[in-house]
Formats: sequence, structure tokens, C-alpha cells
Amino acid sequence: MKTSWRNFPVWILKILGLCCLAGLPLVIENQYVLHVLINIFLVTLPAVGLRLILITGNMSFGQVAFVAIGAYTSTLLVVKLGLSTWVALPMAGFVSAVFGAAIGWPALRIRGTYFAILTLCMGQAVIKYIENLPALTGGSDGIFGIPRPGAIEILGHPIIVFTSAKENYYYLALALFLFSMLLMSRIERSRLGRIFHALGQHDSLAKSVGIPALRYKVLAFSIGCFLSGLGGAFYAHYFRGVHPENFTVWDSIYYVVYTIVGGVGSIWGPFLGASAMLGFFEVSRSLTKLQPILYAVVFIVVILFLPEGLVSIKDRLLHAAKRLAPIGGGGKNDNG
Amino acid sequence: MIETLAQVALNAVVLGVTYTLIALGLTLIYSMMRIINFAHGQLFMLGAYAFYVIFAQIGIAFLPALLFSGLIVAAVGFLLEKSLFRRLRGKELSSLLLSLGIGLFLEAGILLLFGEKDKGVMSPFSGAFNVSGIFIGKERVALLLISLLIFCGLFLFLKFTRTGRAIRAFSQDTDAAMLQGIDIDRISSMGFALGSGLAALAGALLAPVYWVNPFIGGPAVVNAFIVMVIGGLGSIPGTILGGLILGAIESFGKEYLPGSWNEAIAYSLVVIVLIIRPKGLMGYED
Repeated sequence: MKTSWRNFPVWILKILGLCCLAGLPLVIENQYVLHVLINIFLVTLPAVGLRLILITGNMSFGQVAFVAIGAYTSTLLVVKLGLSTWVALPMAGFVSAVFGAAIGWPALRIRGTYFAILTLCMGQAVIKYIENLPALTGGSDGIFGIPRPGAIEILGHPIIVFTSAKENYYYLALALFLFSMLLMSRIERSRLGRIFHALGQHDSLAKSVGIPALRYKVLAFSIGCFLSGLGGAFYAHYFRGVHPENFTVWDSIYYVVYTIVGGVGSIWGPFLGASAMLGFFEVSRSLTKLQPILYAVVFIVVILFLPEGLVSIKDRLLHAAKRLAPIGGGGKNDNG
Repeated sequence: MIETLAQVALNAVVLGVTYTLIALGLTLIYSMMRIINFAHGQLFMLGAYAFYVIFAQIGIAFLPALLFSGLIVAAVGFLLEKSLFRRLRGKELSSLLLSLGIGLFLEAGILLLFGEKDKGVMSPFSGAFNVSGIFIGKERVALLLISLLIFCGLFLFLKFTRTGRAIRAFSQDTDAAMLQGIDIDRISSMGFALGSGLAALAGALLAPVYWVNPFIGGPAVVNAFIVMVIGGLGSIPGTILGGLILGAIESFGKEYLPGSWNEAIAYSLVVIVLIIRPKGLMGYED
């Protein structure tokens, strides 16, 4: 099937990339750089989920709500019920997914810009509820002092112990990110993935061949919210605290920015977008006062001239190469 | 008791008119181009800064300063439409993201020029009227009167002038408007300029009432979204109704509810309205 010798170089590249990501903490000792890398994975999780929602034709400006729900769920499970982080983390994802389905079921009947505004206000509403239910969420004081995750043991020997050093958090974030990529590539290759793409491209046509559009849109939304919740839960354990002010409408907006800048065309788009934008943000720090304006200009330029995002650069280069060398090789490399 | 209630109700009206004022330009631009203009808040902020420079620093009289602020930002809006938004016409999502980028750009630009410190603008109206125990500041009265003037002016402009009629035709049916020989390019620029100018007028009028800093645009635009949606995307009478509802929720909520429940209610209301009646309270079908 898919795994043919033609794909061999791709696999080599993937394994090399993975080794690089896994080896980074061995090379980088600067804790701040590690923090930035962890942050990139952290924002990539909701953005990957958002991409899935975008594929089905809906733009959500409220994903921060599900990040917050995940963060608070995991925190409450650990702090109030004394559960282990390793149980609380996936449960937080599932709780976010349930909330996503509950909100998505009525909301996904609405389309386009209306849905964008609906989700924006839904996100704000959820944060305001968190802020105003102090008995459950600590209200505007937040909850702090979350215990560190327990050590990962093999045969009774602690292998990975979570301390103030950031290496192990990096590996946890990397693991969550790889999990999300694995999930997406499975979905992308399945019938489910084709249905999602069909819904985004031609809603009514998909309906006419008997696909229950709403049900699948809710499913995509719910999976997206699951990843957001997972990201939120990691956030809570990494910073060892949650506070309503940590979750703002800007977070939702930036998930959109990363996804669009990276490109919806590939599952790697959100990661690429987050790495590029956050990387650029860090590199341009030396410009201090000029930095925000430069950041905005880069974003505008991408929207105007690279509407398919950074992942489309490869296709454009291939296209340009084909035009330069019209004889031979044309049309062979991209009918996968 | 009754006095508190009357005072709160009065504040609600003042707030409502304020919110309507901010949201009007947003509604106008949406109704024509189907662009959710995230930069609207930053155009509002730009108006406040223009007014700060012209009125507080240069020292030009209140009303001309107001007018100049509006015109300057209208010119900015005109250029934005002509040079950037036009390239993405018909692409709702890309336009929305572009407006987001422009908003970030304007905020960063003002931050660079003026710094992050609050700027105060002295109000030319001081003191307050006291009507049997209910207080209303003179600046608020001026705000109300000028706002009403702007509402009426906009209404008359859209109803009776050639350009206004073209804008309405464009909002109702772009293709039909084109068939009638309406120059879509020109009207788009005009509409964007008008919307931006309205945002700036709101910013300038509110500058003496609140502080001016580069970050006032974000909260302003979120409130404007609420107003626009509750009333009905693209409906101007609906926007006025939406503004008054939001003003009432905020004013009564702050007085009678703990914490920030008023905000929770306002956001929830948007979600409920959109789910039950997506076209808003007074909007029409697309």
C-alpha cells in the first residue's frame, strides 16, 4: 500500500527530524531556550485541533475556552481529588471534548463569520464563568501550587523525575505533540479524514451523498477540543498553577494565526506556523521597540502573498522547478 | 432605592449610546463587504490619539478637533481598503485575518510613537446636572447629544444622498448594485472610510471620558462585536438596540450582581442569540 520504496527518503527524513527533536535538550542547556521550545509545542496542540475544525469549514475563535477547561479539570482532579497527573491529563482532554461536543452540537448549525463570532464570545463566556465560580475554580485568585507530576518508573526504578529543570517537561510536551501528529495522520488517511475534507470543500454535496454533516462536524470539533484540553492540562502542570487571566481572547486569536501562517494544507502546518512566529518573536527580541510592528508586518505579508501558508512554499518551489525544466520528471512526484 | 434605579438606568443609556457609537462603523463595513473588521478597535484607538494630538496638544477647539480626527482616520480607512482589503475581496476569512494583522500593526505603531503610558484629555465640559438626586455629568450630556447628532446624520446620509443609497444597495445585493452601474470599487473605499471615520469619532468623543492608551482597541472591538451580533449583523437600527441592551446589562449587572457576572451574561447572550436567531434581533436573512 502506502509504504513503498518510493517513500523511503521521506521516512529517513522523518526519523532524522524526530532524532533532532529528541536530542535537542542534550545540546541546549539554556533553560530559557527550552522554555521557548516547550511553549511552541504547547500552542501547537490547540492549533493542530483548530486545523481539523478548519478543514470541516469552520473557524473557531474560542479555542482558549477548551484550553482553560482542560487546565482547570486537570488541576482540580490533582489538587482536590488527589489523582495522579498521568490520570488527570488524559481525563482533562476528554472533559474538554465533551464540552466541545455539547457546545458544538447547537453551535455548528451556524456557519461562516457568525460561527467565528459565536466561538469568540463563547470563549470569553467560559473564562468569565471560571472567574465567577470561586467555590469551584478559585475565582479570580486562581489555583496555585499544583504538585509536580509523579516520576515515571520502570520496574520500580524512577526513570524520569520531574524537577525544576525543564528537560523532562520538554520530553512530555514533545510526546504530546507527537501523539497529536500521529492522531492527525491516522485521521488524514482514513475515511473519516476524507469526510472531513469533503465537508469543508462542499458541504451540501457531502450531505447529498448521505453524510450526516452536522454529526461529523461535531466530531471534528470535539477532537479539536480534546487536543486543546490536553494542551491546557499540560500548561497547568508545567506552570503549576491556573489563573483566569492566563486565558485570554488573544490566545484564541494566536492559535488561528499560527494555523493560517503555517497552512491548513498539511498536518505539520500549525507546528510550522507556531515555530516560525514564536521563533521570529524570540529572534527579533533584540529589536525591542520595533519588534511588535515587524511581527504585524510579517503576518500581513503572509496573509496577502502566501494565503496557503508556509507549507505551500514547497509546492510553489516544485511548481517553479517544473516550469523551468518542463521535460522529464513532470507529474511524477506528486500523485500520492 | 428609586433614585439608585433611575441613576443606574441613566448610566445604562449613556453606556448604550457609547457602545452603539463604537459598533456603528463595524456594522456598516460588515453590511457592505462582509468583513468582520478586527482592526475596528484600533481605528477607534487611532481616533482617540488623533483627538489627543489635535485637541489637547495643538489646542484646536473641541468640535473642529473632533471633525479633523474623524477625517484623518477616514483617510486611513480609505487607503487601507484601496491598497490592502481590495486584494482579498470576497474572501471573508482572509479579510478577517488581514484586519487582525492591520490591528496589530496600528497598535504597534501607536505604541512606538506614543509609548504605553495613559494619556489624559481634559474635558471641555465640567460639572454635573443634578435632577432631584440623579447626577449626570455635563460631558456625558454632550456625549449623548453629539452621538444622537451622528446617528441622525448617518441615517440621513444613507437615506437621501446618492452615495448613501449606493452603499445601501451594495449591502443588500452586490451583483444587482453592479448591474445598476454602481462603481463597487469607489463605494467600497467610501464605505470603509465612513466606517473608520465613525470608529474615530467614537474614540475621540470617549477620549475625555476614559484614558487613552494603545491598548484600548481590543476591549472596544469585543464589545462592538457583542452589540453588532445581538442587534443583527449589518442592521443599523439593530446596532442601536444591541448597544442599549449591552449598556443595560453592564450598568445593572455592575450594580446588582457580584464579580464580573455582567460580562458572563453579555457573552452568553451573544451565544444564545446566535444559536436561536442567527440573524440577530433585527437583522435580515442573508
